[in-house]
Amino acid sequence: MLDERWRFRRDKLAWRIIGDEGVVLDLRSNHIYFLNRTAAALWEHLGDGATREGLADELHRWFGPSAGHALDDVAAWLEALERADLLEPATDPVAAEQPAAPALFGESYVAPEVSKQDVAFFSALGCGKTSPTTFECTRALRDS
Amino acid sequence: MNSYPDLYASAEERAVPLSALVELTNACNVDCEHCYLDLLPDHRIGALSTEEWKQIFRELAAEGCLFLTLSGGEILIRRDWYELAAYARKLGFALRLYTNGTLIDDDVADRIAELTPVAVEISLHGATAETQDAITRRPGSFERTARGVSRLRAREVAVVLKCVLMRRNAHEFASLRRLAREWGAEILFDVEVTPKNDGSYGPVALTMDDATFAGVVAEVERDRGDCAHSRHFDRAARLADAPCAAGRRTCHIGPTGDLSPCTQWTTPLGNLRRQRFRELWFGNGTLRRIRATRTGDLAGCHDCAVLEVCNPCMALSLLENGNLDGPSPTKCRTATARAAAMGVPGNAAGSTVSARLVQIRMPPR
Repeated sequence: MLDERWRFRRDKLAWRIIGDEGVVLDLRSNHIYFLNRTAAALWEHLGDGATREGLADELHRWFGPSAGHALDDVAAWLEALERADLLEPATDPVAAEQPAAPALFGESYVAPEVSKQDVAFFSALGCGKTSPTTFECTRALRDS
Repeated sequence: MNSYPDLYASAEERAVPLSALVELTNACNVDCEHCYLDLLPDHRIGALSTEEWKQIFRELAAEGCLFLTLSGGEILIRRDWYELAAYARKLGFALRLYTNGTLIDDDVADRIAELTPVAVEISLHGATAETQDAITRRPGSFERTARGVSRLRAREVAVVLKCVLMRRNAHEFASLRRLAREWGAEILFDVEVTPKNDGSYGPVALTMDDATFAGVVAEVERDRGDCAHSRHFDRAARLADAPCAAGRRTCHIGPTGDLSPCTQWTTPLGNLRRQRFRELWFGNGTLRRIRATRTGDLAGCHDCAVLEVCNPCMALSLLENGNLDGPSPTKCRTATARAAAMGVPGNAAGSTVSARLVQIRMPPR
């Protein structure tokens, strides 16, 4: 896995970085994943494909953990993503332009983490005029 | 953030437009009698081009928008609907598509399935061809919608049917629920028929009579089960809450680029052809006022006895009353019926709100 390039499953996921954290929806399963700030910074790099070593290098450069520490943390994080079936092998050419370093460059290091929640997406609620509110049903909140 | 409530709280705190509903077009191939829009062709209104929409999608993504709903009119009328939807997915949006379903042939169904939308929401206003076609004023629309739903379900696309219950179709409430089950779809009912966005009250005449309305609302409440979001029994918390998400973490963009807090908000805040989204979203005075407003600030609503079961709507209040402070007659009617259905004590006869309800129940036509 060290030299393999991985990317997230673009066609099956929706994602967004909000502030310095990330949200990923698995559109196949109605699972929602939350990325802490380190994982969110790495996520963009997985869009076009990245190796474990490449990601660990970035972590080392951004936040300063030792190379070995960064590699272990990235490996654990990628395994968590793989277990959740959020990754696929990247076979297309490496993008010429990699995402820029995150805005939190230089902040204290925390290991990348992903947490999961199941969400009931399709529920009635107050305002029927605007779809986004469909997501707000407390069935989702109750299940949290 | 590590939970759904965190996501919403975080978005609201930072005024992140987590959800956006964009009307790609006002053109439509059916002519529903209750529609709140003026259905005009794109060239007549100067609808945004493909590239203009893509620019807006990029701006929304940059501001943290995750949920994008493509709406109309009928979105499938736009020749570039798939290009726009695929582009939105490439940017990481979770997509919802609003359609009447009549234009979903096998090719369109394949393309929709490729997009992995969260759901396709399809307007269905009758359980029979007779009712549906009378409401859409297009013979054959029921059959075409049914085939469209079937094609999507065959591809395991999640379908949510949406029905506005009115005089003409209220008697089919139970049949619609059965039909949804047979089709493998969810169904959402809306009991409110609102004025058109141009302020005319034509559609309101289609609303159910009071007795039917009360019965249907009671049924809808039973369906809703224990969905606590719709039940704010903690009055103090309700007063301290924002009335809704519009302008705080949701927005609406019309076919010509007008930005509004929500679909029902008829006075645009500005236009995205002339201003960047960020500039409008964070710089507009009305949005700042909306974000500062709590339910307790709504002068027409804060002392209402049924506030706990109401979803006050500033946009409807603006449309129906010309002010943001409520109450909206449409919302008053629904809340009163819900309170009765849920056993919540209502407003005392002769109270301010009851008197107001009597005055405004039948709006000018």
